[in-house]
Amino acid sequence: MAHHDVSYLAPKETFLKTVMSWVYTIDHKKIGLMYLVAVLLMFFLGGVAAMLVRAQLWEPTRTVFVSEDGSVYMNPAEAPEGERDSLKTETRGIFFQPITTYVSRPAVNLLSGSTVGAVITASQDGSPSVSLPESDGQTSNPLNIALTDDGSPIFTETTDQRGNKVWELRRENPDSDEPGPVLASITVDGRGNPSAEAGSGLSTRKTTIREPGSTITTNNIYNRMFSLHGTIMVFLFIIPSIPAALGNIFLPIMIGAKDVAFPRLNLMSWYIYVFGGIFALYSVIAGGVETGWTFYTPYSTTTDWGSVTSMLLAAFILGFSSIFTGMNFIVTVHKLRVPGMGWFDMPLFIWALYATAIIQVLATPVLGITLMMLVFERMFGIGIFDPALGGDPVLFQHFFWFYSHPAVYIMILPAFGVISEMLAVHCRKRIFGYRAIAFSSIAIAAISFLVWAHHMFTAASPVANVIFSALTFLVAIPTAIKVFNWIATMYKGSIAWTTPMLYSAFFLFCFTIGGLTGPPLATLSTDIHLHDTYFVVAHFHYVMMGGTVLAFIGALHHWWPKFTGKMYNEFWGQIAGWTVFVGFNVTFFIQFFMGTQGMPRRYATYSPEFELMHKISTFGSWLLAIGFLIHLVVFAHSVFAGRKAPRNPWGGLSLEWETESPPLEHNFAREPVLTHGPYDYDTVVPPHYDPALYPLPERSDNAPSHH
Amino acid sequence: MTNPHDSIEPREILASEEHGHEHVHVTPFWTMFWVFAILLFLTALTVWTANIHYIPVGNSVIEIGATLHILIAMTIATVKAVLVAAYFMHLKYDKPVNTIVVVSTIFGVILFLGLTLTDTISRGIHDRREQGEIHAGGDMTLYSNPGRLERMRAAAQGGVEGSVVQQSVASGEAVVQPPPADNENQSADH
Amino acid sequence: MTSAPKDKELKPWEAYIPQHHWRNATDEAEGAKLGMWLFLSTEVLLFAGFFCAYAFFRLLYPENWHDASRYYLDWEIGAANTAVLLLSSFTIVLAIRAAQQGNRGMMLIHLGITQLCAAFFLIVKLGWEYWPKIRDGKLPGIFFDYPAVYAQRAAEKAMIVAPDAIIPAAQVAGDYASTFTPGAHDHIFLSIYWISTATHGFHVLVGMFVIGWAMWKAYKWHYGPRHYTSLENVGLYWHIVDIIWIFLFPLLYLV
Repeated sequence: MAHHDVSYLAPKETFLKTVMSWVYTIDHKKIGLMYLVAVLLMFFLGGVAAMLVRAQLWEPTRTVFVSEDGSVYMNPAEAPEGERDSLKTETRGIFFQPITTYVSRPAVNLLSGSTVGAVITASQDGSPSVSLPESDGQTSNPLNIALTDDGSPIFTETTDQRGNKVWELRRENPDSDEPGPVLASITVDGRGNPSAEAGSGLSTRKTTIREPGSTITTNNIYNRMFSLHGTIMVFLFIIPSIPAALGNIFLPIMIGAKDVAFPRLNLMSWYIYVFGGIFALYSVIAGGVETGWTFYTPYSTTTDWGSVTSMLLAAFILGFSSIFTGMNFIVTVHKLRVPGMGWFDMPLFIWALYATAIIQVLATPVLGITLMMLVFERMFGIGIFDPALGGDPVLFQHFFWFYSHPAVYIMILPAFGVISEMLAVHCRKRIFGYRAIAFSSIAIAAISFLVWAHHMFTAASPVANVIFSALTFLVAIPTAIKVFNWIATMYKGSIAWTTPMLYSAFFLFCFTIGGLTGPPLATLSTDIHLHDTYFVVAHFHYVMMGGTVLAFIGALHHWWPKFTGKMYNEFWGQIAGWTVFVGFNVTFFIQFFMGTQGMPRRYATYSPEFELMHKISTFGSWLLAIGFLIHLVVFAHSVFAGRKAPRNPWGGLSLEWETESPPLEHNFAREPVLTHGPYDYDTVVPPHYDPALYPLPERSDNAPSHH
Repeated sequence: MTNPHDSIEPREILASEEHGHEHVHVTPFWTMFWVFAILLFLTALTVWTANIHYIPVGNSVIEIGATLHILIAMTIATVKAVLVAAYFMHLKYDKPVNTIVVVSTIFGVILFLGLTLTDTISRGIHDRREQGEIHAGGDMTLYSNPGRLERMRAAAQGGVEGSVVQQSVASGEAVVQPPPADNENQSADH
Repeated sequence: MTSAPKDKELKPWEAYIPQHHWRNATDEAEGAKLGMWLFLSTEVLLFAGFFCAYAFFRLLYPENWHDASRYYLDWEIGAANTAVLLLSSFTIVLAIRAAQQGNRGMMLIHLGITQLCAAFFLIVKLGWEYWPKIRDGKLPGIFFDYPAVYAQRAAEKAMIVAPDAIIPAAQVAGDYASTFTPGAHDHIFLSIYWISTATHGFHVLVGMFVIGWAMWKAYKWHYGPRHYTSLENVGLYWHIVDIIWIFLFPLLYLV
């Protein structure tokens, strides 16, 4: 059988060959699918971290004052006059238990008969220290060791023939000022192991003692947990989620190409991602970071906690993966469109990916150099970001946000693209305002470079703040253009309420809330109040999760039949969708109120007035988790027991619906010929489409058309 | 509807046709040579202008300050970069898309530098530091080697602590040895 | 695989066919070049970070910056390296020209000159710039040895003022230090100098590897009038290394 007749998922002759065909593949679909599995795994990890963060906030660790009738006060002064004397303190919250690590050190027991008379251990500088046994809480001295006035044993230091230091421990001599007879002589070798030569009537026994080392407090654990959530979700999940996974699979197919422009670069991008991911996971295991995903200086340059350097390197490496994907997409779109496909014949998903790729290429190198400088700062103390060395931490914020603000558009722009696809297909209607949506993607990419300092309104100068505040409002224009066009697309469409359509509607709802809470944060006066509160947390979760993640899950359902060749269970897909939607809103909507009332973000604890709201939010996170778990079951069921998907289950018009499900190894048996645009629902009946397989509420050609 | 695939054959790639550069633009030697010569000349010009601090005009002089020096040097460097990009890197002869990439990159760099420095300048760190309103911090002299600089300064000012002065002088002597006669000019030129 | 005539042994550049997913070789060459330009734009933005940090600290500590530039760096070395890099850019252009004309010998010669220039650049950089700085403690950040550098500076200045005078060392130090204004942020200047030139030097080193690879391909007859895409891209990379130096040189050494 010739290679172009085989599905890309078809196994090879032997198991080993199949595995190798994935390891060495340069096929964009396989690379995309591997990316997809990896980002879903990362989504799971980041989600677990988020659940733990919310769980800590269900009952935070704090000291409260409880009166006899059970009322709880943070401050005794809040209690009524008469009750203050009878208040009892209570420690609430046990979720993140402080972790104390113990260190074991070699020691020698000096035995008098069978009782331990003294324990000798080596201290940090190599000299031995002696601890006396305790009985009844009192230090006893059964061996009658000579002690100083403050109770520590007296040593006399000598040197033996081999040059080792030897300490002599003497018996006390109460009768005269002369030192007493030698009780034991102690030698500490180069590795810190003490040994003792005991005097008459004594014997020695080697032992180890265990003593507390460092303690990781609840707050430390909380910091690590939300930093873990942030770094994984941003660098390992959301940035590669739609472009590198779904974009990789569908961009070449949708423009009628056999592959991306540089297939080997694509594979390299995937392995760089794996490498960076391993670095990130290593950092988590080696202690994690407490800096948040933003790595703000000077904390990130001075903290000794965890493994900031390796996490920085992980993000640095992951940046290259993102850059290579972006470069590949730009060249692919420029050079590999099927003959006859002009720029305005491309599906809008391609436009969105193109705009995303521009940002990836232009912004990510600045992140690379920023993180590199930060690594140098930690390793060599170069002083550029460290105020103690004459540097400027605000400069770091500029460097960081020059990438990281455009990066939020790397996250959201592909979501805009899939929404344009899903709405047009599932509404069976020509997308409203094609060119406006296409150009608004490019406009968002351009404006994204102009607004970064709105993350820094409390740090930057008034002049810069005014400039950046004004520029920030510009983003609202192209974004609103998109939202209005999507709503106009739905108007009088023949909507099929499939799971992808459901998610598109969820997206419009949540993203609009996320978008509309942006202007209060772009407004200087309100931002000063809302800065670093839960309002910001809620805002970006409405944009990133309510926007990108919902669109991503929707897109997974939309294209699932195509890239797996299996249908999923529509009923349970929608049940899961509603659970996620309700859980999401319960989790995050309340956080807007918390933020306006002054609940700061990144705190492991809170005042009692926020208790109910935090509990509601945590409850919502459980709903969210249940929803995602149902999705997982639906997908697993589809993989193992789903019925075979037809070529074009939804009746789409773009090129990916013309090839087999799953697509062939080189995408198409023959190079496709463009006969219609991707949204010509008013003039074209979708190819390979059988309404019996997926009944429609209304035939597309009966729908009113607009000319 | 008929399937359009039935009637149209896909384009086949044959090794014998259209697989080379279709219109090879052979780089003109003398153009490149003159560009190279101009680049060398501009390098010399940058060095020369950087060492001019005053221009005599009649009886007075015009002082060339640091800002003007940067402007001159950056203008020359930009001209050089444009020459390299246009001729050596073939942008002049290529499709315009590559030039668009370059222009958007430069646009990005200008935005990055421009807006960051707008903030820096309008924060007025420098002025406020000069006026003593904020502490600039970062005096490395106190940071990395606490004590050593103090000893040097004390030695220089005639000494506050006798022993320290001695130590400093002792360590300074090795460095401050007058050079042998034959090395003299070389050292003085530095 | 090819429909080329059988009577003649084809050289690799004559027999070249594009990768399977390209529609023709022109698209492939143009696509590769566009990809290279995108990569170069990431390089430029990477170095923009250094330029931004440079500009920031120059605004913050202007006099200190000017003095440090004059004191720590020799413009002669920088200028020589600039000229060498320009020459290497020119020769790599000539190598591409030789490829277009099918002249393998000239291609190899010009690439060889480019390699020599790159090696010259790195040797000068390491031997005449980095090594003396390491020796004298002129290192970035907290590794900058202020007392050693001050002592050296004092000694040098004393020699300039009175090379013949026999003055006790203590007095030299005293006279000098009373008028000496410490450059409190020299270490940041040197940080930026070190990380930007080291990053650039790393790019030169990578350039030597890719030019070496291109030489090997040229030697194996992979470049000719019909196909020289990767040589062209190596050239583009080398030119951007040159352009970055064109900006680094005046900023660090001159102004």
